[in-house]
Amino acid sequence: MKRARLVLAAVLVVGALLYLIIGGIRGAIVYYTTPSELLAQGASAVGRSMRLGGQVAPGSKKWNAQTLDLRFVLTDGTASIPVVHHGAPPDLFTEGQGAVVEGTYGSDGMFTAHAIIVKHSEQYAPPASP
Amino acid sequence: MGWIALAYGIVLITLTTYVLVLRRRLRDATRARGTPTQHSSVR
Amino acid sequence: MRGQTFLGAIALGLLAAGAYVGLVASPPDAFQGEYVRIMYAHVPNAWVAYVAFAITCVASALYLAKRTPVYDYIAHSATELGVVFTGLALVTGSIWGRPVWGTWWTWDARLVTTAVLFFIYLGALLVRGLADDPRRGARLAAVVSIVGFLDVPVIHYSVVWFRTLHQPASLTRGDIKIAPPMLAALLLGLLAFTVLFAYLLTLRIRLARAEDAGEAA
Repeated sequence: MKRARLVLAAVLVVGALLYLIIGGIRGAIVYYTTPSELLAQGASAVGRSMRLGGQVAPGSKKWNAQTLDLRFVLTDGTASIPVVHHGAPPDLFTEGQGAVVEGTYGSDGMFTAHAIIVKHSEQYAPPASP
Repeated sequence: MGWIALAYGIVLITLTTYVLVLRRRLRDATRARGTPTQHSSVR
Repeated sequence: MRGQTFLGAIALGLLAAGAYVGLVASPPDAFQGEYVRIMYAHVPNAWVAYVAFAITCVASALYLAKRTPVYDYIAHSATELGVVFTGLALVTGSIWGRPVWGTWWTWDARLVTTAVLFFIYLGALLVRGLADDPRRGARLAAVVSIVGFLDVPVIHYSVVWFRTLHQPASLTRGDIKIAPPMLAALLLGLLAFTVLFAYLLTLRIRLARAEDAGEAA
């Protein structure tokens, strides 16, 4: 019985710890920053390694096959940030879809990415028949 | 379609192996219990 | 014994049907194309892992309260199965992420908390070996298993609480975001894996009982 109480205490303590940790770092555990948040950070964001996530603005994707430079704009509907990446994107990278880029924000307002990750939604449906 | 084959293949192989291992261990354990002098140190 | 073989046969049949529907009969996805089929192998593994650790948690609590060996057989067996299925969920998720996200692994809250779950219950299996007295090892494992279960709700809500790369749940109460033919493939997969899990659990519990009896003899 004493042991049962001890276990109960351990569960409560660890539970409280987890609650505090989750509550405390909830704001800190963000996988990516949005364009609006990045612009709000201003100069302090320049040169810091980070992930930027948003939607690839329709019509913004430009691929240069000679220099292998990929340029596009990430937007969250309010703010937009131009991104440059050297090398081809993942297969499913398309305009109008979500994407997360890893890299640094430059003082010229351009985000230089060294990695591109495609983000998809939780919706699944067959392709619309033509 | 290699990724799909890889995912299904790993699940199939892992679970099949696991079932076979469980069944063999079960056979060994019941045999060891039946005749303790013989195969008791199979594992 | 015969009931168990019957259960195994049903699991096999459902798995074959699930593989057929998932790989052949269901349509590709508008965005990710054929890769969506990996979901039918990924989600059922994660679901069964949750079920396994829920059983582990309850059986561990009962073992600590009553000290009857049968509860430890159940807890030990469910832990081992949960580790296998969590491992498969991580691996299939990684294989799905490679073509669709463009990465095998990333430090996303859902991915990290799932990997933590894997190591917590791997630890619960290993901690048994640390104690000289197997009953003491079983008690230690029970404590780790109960405390470790707190990670399951964290994993489940990670996609809601935190801003993640991993998409939120597609099946929530009153809101299904999957087209019917794909939903059928997913539900069949979930059913097949649940029956398979029931078969494996009964088999593993029989083994735990037999090995315990063998050592006592």
